[in-house]
Amino acid sequence: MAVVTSARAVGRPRRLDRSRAAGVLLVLPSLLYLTVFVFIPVIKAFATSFTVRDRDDAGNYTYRVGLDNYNQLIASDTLRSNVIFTVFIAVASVSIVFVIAYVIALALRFGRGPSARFLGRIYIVPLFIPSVIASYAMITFLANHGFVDGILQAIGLPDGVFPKIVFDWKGIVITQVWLSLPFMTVLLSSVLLEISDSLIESARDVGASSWQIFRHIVLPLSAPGALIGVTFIFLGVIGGFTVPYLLGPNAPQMLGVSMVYYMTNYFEPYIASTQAVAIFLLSLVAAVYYVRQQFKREIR
Amino acid sequence: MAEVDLRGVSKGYKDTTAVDDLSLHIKDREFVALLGPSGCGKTTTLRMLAGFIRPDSGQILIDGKDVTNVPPERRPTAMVFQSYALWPHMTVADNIAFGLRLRRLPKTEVEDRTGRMLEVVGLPGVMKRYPSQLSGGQQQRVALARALVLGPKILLLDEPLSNLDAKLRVRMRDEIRRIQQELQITTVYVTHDQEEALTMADRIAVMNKGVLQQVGDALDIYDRPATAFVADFIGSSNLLSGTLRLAGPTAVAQVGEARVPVEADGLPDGAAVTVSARPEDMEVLRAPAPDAFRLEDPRLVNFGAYKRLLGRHPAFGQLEARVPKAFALGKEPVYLRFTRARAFTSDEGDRS
Amino acid sequence: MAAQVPALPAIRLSWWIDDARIRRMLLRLFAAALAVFIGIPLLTLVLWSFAGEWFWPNLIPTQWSLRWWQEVLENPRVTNAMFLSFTIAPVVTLLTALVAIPAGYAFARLDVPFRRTLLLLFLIPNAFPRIGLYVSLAVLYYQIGLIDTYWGIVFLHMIGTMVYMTWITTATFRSIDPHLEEAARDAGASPLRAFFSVVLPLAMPGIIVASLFSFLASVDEAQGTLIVGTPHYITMPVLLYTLISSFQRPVAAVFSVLLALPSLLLLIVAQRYLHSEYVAAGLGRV
Repeated sequence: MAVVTSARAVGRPRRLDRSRAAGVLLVLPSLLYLTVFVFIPVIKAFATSFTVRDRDDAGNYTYRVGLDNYNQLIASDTLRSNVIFTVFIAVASVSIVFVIAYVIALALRFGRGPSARFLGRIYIVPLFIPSVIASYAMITFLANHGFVDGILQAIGLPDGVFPKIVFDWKGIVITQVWLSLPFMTVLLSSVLLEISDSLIESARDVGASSWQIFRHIVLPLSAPGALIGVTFIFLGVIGGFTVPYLLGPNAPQMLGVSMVYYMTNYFEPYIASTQAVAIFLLSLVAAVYYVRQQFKREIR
Repeated sequence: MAEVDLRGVSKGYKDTTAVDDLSLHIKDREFVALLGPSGCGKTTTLRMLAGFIRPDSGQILIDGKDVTNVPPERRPTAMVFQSYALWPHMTVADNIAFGLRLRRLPKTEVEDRTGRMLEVVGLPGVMKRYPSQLSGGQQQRVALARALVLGPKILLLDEPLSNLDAKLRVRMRDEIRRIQQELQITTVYVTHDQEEALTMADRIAVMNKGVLQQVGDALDIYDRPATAFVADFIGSSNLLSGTLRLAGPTAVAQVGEARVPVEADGLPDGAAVTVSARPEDMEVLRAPAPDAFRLEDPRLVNFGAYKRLLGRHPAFGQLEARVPKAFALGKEPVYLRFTRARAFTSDEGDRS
Repeated sequence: MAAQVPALPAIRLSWWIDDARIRRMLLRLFAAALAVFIGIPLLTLVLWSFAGEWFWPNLIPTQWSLRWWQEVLENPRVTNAMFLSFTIAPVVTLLTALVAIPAGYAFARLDVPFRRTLLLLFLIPNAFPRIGLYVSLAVLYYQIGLIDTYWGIVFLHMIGTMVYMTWITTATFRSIDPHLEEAARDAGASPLRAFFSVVLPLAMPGIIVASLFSFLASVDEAQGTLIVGTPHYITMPVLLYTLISSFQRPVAAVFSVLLALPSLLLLIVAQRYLHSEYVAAGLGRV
């Protein structure tokens, strides 16, 4: 007697397969895009940085794999000071914007009254100003014989005393702070919102002053979320081009600017790529932390 | 000594009055419960005592000192929040020790007090754990320990048991009461659960819509409710409307077709009254009487130890009486007579 | 009961924070300083755009004029750049939406193999410094012939927008109660129909916010476009680079105002969507 066994009876339920297939299909286009336009360039950047181009006696180019580019990065005074300059600006910008944004976020969370409300409307403005424009505005604002210089001289500052801010690291930092303020404030605001009122009230109830509440309760509880914002801004500043290009000094340069110069002016894609990888390695810790934390917060 | 005096305290918000002219005196070492439905103003009152809300008018005195304008961190009060409000990033020990460290007590003393307080609340051995690792009941005890370790004069509790399951609630009720007795601390306890209030408190302050209805011990509140609201809110009551008739020292209310003897302190003859009678103060008759009501569609609900007789009255709606478990319904009609009833003025409902 | 715990000593350090009046005053000062810091630079630009003559050390122009506006708006380079910027941005936004919304839905609702790893991969564009990415991409473009082309620019702009869109749409779809979709299916709608009738409308606010940021990101994109777009495709920000470098102050100022206007308009129009959660979703979660 033949026993008919349905193939379906032992297979996986159809519904799940369809869901998986649909899932793959829907994600495929974006994945394809990222592979071609992000992953491949990144891998190429790494590969290029390890490619050394030599010229032989006949004037022909030969290529080999080596660390020469990296050696040049470390040995060259210019390039080395670029690296230090880049890190310094990133750290300075992030620290300053963190403090200012935190004050705003605290005011938004705990403040009442017109000042707090006003802050709530104004901090978001830089978000809508393209970085090119912001940079230019800062140039006219902070240049020697610019607006601030004018105001200060009108109240008595002698000419020539105003420090060099534009085409100097100070200009870059101030502009980056200006541009990063909305993002940092929004992030800190949402982090502070997660701290319930009763946690604050219970601290007041046991006798803590506002400063003590901030130091022992608010700050530690806001730290993990705040760090995500800090790393994101850090990554943005360290790989920035527009602001240092328009507002930075000729030397030292931030790596983003020097990278583009090596690429387009000196036609040296190898050193350019090496600098790209250098920036990446500099921000690796921040990048890893950012990805891990973002992941933990979002994926449940 | 830790006495609390609330004098004419009021607090209003945009279109509502949360607390209306509340005056209450709490004696030293007394356990007072603020009882009422949600929105009655009990939590607002508690938070005004703690200092988180400033009253619009009136005074709050602790031991004779006016603390109306004193911020919470400087009041001799300590609060246990409904959500416990344990700081998630600190261990149990750090949570409790926080206030002690603020006051710069030496390390050994901090550890000493923390350990002792954990024993008082019955939680030795959880010092190093984090709040998220504790059960609801344990978190609650930690919140209690945190409040008590500072040796406050007044302990304030905001519905501390509402997040616990029924069995745990009963156990924690006794625990809290035991700790309060042991420490002899003046306590104000907010709850909407009358069983909690009746079993735990020395005195109960019943509130409704911002107004204090009655203050008294469990027996006062239950047996001699001062307003229709208290009569209805505490235990169960049958409420009927009628007219009061005074005949010398006795008071009788004309309620529908019956003339019911009532307790009616000081109400005038002819007043429109609400009469309230508890289900256990009812007698079931098989024949009509001048002070009894006919019950339509009678049916019995079995509660094991007793039964409830439910039925309808054409004018007064649902009535219920408590009957012994052996009680049975026959085919003859049933009538209810009130063996004990109170009368309140009809329009009051809200004021005592 | 045990001996009394000592009362707190007066906290000297923060008396000034706790005093409500001082705190209010400090906050007022801070708000004023911030208003100056944020507003005045922008104001200066606006003033420059109307400046007929503005010599040092005057604090406002000595002569007002509209002639720079006339010059700019009649300049074919400028109008071309504007046209390019504002036609590229919608294309970029649309393409990104077409690609990212299905992906977002899949991540939120469907069983995608290696879901967690894939989502992680979507964060890489943000983790690698953008300019390094653009430089490497430029090298690739040279090799495959996308340098100095319209689509080359579009695809480059999409790098930034793709990250926003995917994460925001995933979060948005996830926040929609799955029962709503099931109820539609139960009533007889196919999965596609259920998506368009129930899910998409509910996800609209989040998608609009994401699209807004994508649009702005594309209009703002300067550095990558500079590298891959020259010499034939000059967008507004790229043109502004040259104007700034050549020190034509009033012209550059007019141009800046022109470039900033649509963004600010979007700010006003989108006010009602800009709750903290949405903006946080737009920025913080990405």
